Amino acid sequence: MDNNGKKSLLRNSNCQDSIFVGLCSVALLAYSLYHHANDRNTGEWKTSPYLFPVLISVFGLLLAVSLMADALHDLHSVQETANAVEGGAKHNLVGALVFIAASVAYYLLMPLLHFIPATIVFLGGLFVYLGERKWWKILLLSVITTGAVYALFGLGLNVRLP
Amino acid sequence: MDAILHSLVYFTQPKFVLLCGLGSIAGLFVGSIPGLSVSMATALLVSITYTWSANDALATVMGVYVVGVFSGALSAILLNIPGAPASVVTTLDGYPLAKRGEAYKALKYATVYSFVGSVFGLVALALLAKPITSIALKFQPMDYFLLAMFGLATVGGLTTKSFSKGLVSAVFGLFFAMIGMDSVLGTPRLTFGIRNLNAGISTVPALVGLFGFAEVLSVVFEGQMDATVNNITRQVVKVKDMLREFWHSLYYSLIGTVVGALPGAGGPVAAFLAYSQAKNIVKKPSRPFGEGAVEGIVASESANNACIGGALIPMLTLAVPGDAVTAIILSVFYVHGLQPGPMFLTTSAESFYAILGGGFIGCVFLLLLGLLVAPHLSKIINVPKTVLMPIVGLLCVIGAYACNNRLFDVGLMFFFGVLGFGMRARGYSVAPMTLAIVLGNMMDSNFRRAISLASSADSKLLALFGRPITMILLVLTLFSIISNVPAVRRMLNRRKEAKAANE
Amino acid sequence: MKKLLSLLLALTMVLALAACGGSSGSGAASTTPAATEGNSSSAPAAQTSDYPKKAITMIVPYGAGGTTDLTGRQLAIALEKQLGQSVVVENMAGASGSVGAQAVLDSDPDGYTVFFTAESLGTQRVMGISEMSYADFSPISAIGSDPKVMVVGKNSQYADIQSLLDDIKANPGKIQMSYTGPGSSGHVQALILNRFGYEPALTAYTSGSESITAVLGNQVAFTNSNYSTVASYIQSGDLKVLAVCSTEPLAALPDVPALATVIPGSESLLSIPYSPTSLIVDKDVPAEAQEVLRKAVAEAVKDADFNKFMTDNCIEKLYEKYTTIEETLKFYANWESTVSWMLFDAGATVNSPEDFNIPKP
Repeated sequence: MDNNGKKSLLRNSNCQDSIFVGLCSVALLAYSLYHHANDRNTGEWKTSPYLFPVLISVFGLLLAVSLMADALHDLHSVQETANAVEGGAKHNLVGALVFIAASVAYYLLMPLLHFIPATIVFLGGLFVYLGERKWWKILLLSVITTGAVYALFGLGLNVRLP
Repeated sequence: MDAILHSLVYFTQPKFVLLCGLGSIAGLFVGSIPGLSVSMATALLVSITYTWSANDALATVMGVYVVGVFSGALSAILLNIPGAPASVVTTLDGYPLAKRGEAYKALKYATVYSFVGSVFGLVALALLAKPITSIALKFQPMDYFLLAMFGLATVGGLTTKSFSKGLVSAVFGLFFAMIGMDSVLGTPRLTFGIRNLNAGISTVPALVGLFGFAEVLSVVFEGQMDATVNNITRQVVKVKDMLREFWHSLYYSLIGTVVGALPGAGGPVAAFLAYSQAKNIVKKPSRPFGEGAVEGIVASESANNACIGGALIPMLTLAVPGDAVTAIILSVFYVHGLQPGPMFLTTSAESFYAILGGGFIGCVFLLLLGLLVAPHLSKIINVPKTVLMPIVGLLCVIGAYACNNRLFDVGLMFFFGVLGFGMRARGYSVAPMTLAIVLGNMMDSNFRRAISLASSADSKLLALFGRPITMILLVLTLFSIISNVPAVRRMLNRRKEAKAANE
Repeated sequence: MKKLLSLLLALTMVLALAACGGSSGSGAASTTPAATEGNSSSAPAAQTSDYPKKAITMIVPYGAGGTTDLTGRQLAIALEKQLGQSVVVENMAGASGSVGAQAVLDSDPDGYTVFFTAESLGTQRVMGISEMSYADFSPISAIGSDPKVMVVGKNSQYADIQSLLDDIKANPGKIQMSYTGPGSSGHVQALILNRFGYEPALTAYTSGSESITAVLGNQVAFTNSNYSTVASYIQSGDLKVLAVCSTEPLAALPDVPALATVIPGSESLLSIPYSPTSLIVDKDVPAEAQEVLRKAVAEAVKDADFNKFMTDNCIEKLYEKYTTIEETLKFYANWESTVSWMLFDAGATVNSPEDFNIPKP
């Protein structure tokens, strides 16, 4: 990534994460201390519901320090521990986003449309989007899966499907 | 010994065996489908079986329980989606094996060693229920807290290359576990006025999201829709190779039984502890751990199945359930007028034998189903991803909804799905987070209990840590944390190198 | 070809799932009509409306195995026979019963979620645990009250109640006692002790059986428990009963003294049933459904098995004491005012009972 060989601390993923974790911990600590002081029935620290969150935030701060140490180590070490996660084959971020959007739409439509039609549309749509082209296969699969899921959950397990 | 002989009588009763078999088949399905849990199935059984005789009900429930715990491994290996938190560890080595086209081998190992673990746990239940109960009673609140800490520290070290990242994942898991009314005072914590959060974050939507939905997103993101996985080679797994791990597995099973007997800790902790032990004691794994070592599957599966016998012990002798499933089995007992407690083993010996009998028959079905069905199931990996992913996505949505009949949980599932996806992309493992969400509330209440108990003692430090079990756990926890801190690790490595250079 | 084959396999799997679902579904269906047929003659109550048409969920806001849970489950079995529908008990433990209570109010008020609870609803507001009270619910019937007993482990240094009380008095805030959370009946018992100058160190546990485990594991010196929860431990000799927290000894334990005889002046406080269990529903549940439930309960409590359970566990039969809805409501009001003010006077509450117009007893 860094062609100049210049290593910026802020661009190191460990450093970014360290800042994020540190901020979260401070926020949790502040939240816990504030509520412990202001809530009505917290009582002493030994029974306070915020005792454990405080402990967690302390762990979080220690981890932020530890992550920062990792980041500094990365900077000083000779060979940059490459981001194994990034790079590699072509990524399909759009696909993942579409999948999320489709699921959320399904989630919102389910109470309106009734379970069975919503599910058939959801499955069929995704099959098509993901590259399935044989229409009989799409139809058959989405109808049969929906039926099977409905039978299993709705009838078999007494789940009150919308 | 007597108890085991008595329980074997049930093998000759066709109706008992049949019902247990039906339960096993049901267990196979509910355990392996992400989003369906064994506890849901047993909850349903309570209402179905209430008109039956107690023995028939017990046979069915034991079948579901034994096979259901095992079958969580099937989806863990084939889809990288554990059926239950206890199978999370199985994904670490099982899925890499499946990706290499060796799913068949992975499934076979999982089956055989789940069988070994289950039998071990049940034998322990038959022979050692009393001594194990007294061990469990020796654990004080601080010990439960430290055990959970030790579990989290171990997971942090096991699942990612960077220890800090593993622990960060665990700490955020604890944070999510804090959301909701606290279990002692009922104060709503971190809910920010959202009433649906008052009941807290249930395990099922979190697990299904972090593993199931996130996996689906990753597959779509990485664009491997057409990539066919290596064809499955139906290798002959030699019995001799298979049995090589037998003695180790007894050790893992022992861990599983004891941890299972500690209420609240249960399967996931046992599996992780066994896995970390495996890393230490297995000198030459078939492949490095985390890249498809069958030894890892052996550790995880024998430990989490041994938990069955373990979790039944406090349930029968103290009426305190060891995990969510035994909590529901406990209601089966009450519905049939059986009263677990210190007198149970003597006053209701017949039912005790029926539980054992049902358990052993369930083990046999586990072996049969695992060996017969596994080769066919492993072909699921050949189903085109274009077809499989939407179906898995659908199951995630329905599974999250079904556990509480709340649409809100589906929303939570999406949140955890996206979170899990993001975490993976940045090199964080979701396993520590899952374990932390499972253990968080138990840690919170036990920590506060320990502080509360110690606050009235004269020497507070002694009251907190002044017991052998506590000290051992404290040392283990500190050791596993400190030895994994990157700076310390680098120092140790440097010293090792220096030593090597001197010689 | 291979793809087609695997597709077929996937299909068969899905079909197998469907078959599995179908079979378990029919299993569930087949039990219910049988139950209905068997009882249609004995349950005219169920005929007045079409309620109940499906399974009823009974939420118990405590862990499995405690008295409330056990009584609730026994009642559920007896109710099933009357209603001809299954009554599924669900434990939703936590926060002195407010987690379960909230879940009941959150569910649809259609009569298919009923609530079997102990007394904690009467104290939640003053304890600052929640804004809920008995007024948010409508009573079906008061059921039972489990006597409270003080127990110690079998190897305890305390041979009788006097030695325990003396030790507590000599070491205020040092003798450990486990209890089931602020505002619970165990807490009220500790407050009664406080009134007479005894101050044990309290540690909260989530259920009655966990409180007992704490005694068994020597985490605490003693606990104040429901009798039915400890009965089998007394039988096995793992626990010793030192006193019954009442004005008279129990029929099952004639040799164990009543606490009122040991602590002079405590009679009036110890005569109240402190852990009444009741079956209640959301107050928005249609009156028709409530009436069906009330009639069914009135018949269910006559069930032989249910009666045996109540007698065996020495549970006071409150449904015989408070037979009408008015009496039950009066009992709740009285209970709420006594306990709320006791907690308030002890400085244990967050809010004053006056804030909620709870009259002084």
